[in-house]
Amino acid sequence: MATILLNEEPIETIVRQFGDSWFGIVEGETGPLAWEEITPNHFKIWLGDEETAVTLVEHNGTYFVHGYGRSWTITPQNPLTKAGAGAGDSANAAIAPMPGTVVSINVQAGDEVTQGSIMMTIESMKMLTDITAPRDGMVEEVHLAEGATFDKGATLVTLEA
Amino acid sequence: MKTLKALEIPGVVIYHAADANSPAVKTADETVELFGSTPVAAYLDIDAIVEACKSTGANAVHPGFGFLAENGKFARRLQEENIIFIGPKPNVIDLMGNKIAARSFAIENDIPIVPSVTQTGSDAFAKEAETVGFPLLLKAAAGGGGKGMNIVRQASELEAAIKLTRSEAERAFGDGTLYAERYVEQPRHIEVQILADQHGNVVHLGERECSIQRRFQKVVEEAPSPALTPELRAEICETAVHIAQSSNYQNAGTVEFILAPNGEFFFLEMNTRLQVEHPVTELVTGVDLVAEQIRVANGEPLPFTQAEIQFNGHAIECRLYAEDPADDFAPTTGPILVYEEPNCEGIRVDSGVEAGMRVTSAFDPMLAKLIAYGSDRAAAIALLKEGLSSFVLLGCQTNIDWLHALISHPDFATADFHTGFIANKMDEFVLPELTTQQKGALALAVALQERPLSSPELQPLPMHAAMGGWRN
Repeated sequence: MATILLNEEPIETIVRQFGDSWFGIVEGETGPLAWEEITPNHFKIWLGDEETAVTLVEHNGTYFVHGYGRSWTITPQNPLTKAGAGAGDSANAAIAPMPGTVVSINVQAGDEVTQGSIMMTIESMKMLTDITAPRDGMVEEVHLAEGATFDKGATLVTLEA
Repeated sequence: MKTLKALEIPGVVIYHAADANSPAVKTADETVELFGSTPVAAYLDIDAIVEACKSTGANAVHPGFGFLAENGKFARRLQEENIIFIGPKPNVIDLMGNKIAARSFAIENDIPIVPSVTQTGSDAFAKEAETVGFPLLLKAAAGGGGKGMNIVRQASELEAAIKLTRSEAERAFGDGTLYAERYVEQPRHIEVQILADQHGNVVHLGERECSIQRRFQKVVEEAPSPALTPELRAEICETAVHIAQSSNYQNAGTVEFILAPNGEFFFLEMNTRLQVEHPVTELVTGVDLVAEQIRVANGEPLPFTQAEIQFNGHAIECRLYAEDPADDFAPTTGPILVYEEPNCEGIRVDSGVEAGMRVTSAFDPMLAKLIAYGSDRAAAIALLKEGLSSFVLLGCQTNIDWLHALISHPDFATADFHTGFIANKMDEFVLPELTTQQKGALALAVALQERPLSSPELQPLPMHAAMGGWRN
């Protein structure tokens, strides 16, 4: 039994084999299952009377799939690993809400900040956004310099715990 | 580069390390790397670019779009160094590049414009801005490309909007001067492609409609515009030619207008460069605009008169972005693991990426342009749907599926839209839901990858597999 996340929507699937017959069980419904690898990354899948072609590739435990004319992110849920990514206690750090560039930095290590005060200004999608302190506290470290680029989820400023 | 190859002219591509894997760099005859504190700074380094011309012996520069394409200082510098700038003369670039100067020029030449006012002092602008009436648009005078613009609907919002727009303008263009103009409600964006040689000949290559925009950024463009009667088309195109002639324009350019629902149109601005969406014009006219730009820069007269330009069929372009429409269009990043362009007749792809590249936040998130060309608009839309649904780009989230939903909206099919289309109808852009069985097929395709697969005949039946080893 495996839970597969199809763009965040969980789907329960089971693959069963009896002799040389295969079956796929989806949300309790069973159907004969067959597949064929056409070229690397390209497969044809038959489930019951449904036949479809998919292109797929795996990267860091997630599958990027193209099927039915659109793209999907499909992640098998391994029950032994924790779901989600803990990027550190959010109240202790300002995390980049989107990829961008650091425009200006208003604080340095050791500064006292109050909740909501502007610590940094970033630019993304041709717009400026202020990065504010999530709570009152003292700045432990500013991780990037002016002009640096970063990805979504990057830690920008850490407050002392 | 494709055009240069066809014309058998050697081309040098200048690039920053972030673009080292781009198709242009790979097909260039020679390349020169630029360096800078940021990738953008590298592409704005005029001295380095001039040096690259000298060291490679290049005697002409095609500035493309963005960066220095509309920079009069750059064009002037090339002129001083006896390097041909493929575009209009520096004074025309300066004229049209400054929105305020362009508007004054329009007024002097009896070209209709929207009521507006330019900032004269730095404090009193709120009072001046109000005179154009609400709703109004605050814009950066030195701006373009949809940046540094904000709509203000009432007087109470004005002060804050002025502050914000000024800082965005300073950041993007290094100039915080603003102007305010009346915002025409439900406008359509119509632009006309102009081509002029150095001998005084000016023609238009028809109009494009670019009303499908999100926050002033174009998303879908098409030629011809489904909103124009033949009479209105002639009037708008001739007005564009008049503007080009009056300004002694040379080379390719685009005159932008806004069209009000009642058929009135107003000159907006002129872009003194080739536009991102030029392919739709190339398809309906059969003219290679880049080739004509090069020929004009080389001193040749235009190879056709206005009457000889033919318009056939309908072309629509979609801009593919690395963004997540479900997350308020936040830019996305990631490796391009699989990249397969659609392979259908009538579909053209202009791409800046390929498999193996990494999408990063260093540049504009536009990845590629998908263009469909059909005998009429309905055929073009059908082709576009086929192209979008068969475009495979895996590893980085894109807006491809969202575009598919957008062009499938009934109002797009009937061309019943204006520049507010995306903002107003976005919630209705959904593709049909898959059946559970279809979702299952996709999920199982992945589940099968996770299983160690072995040939079925080597797998024992469950009963037999449960037996322990035994000897007879």
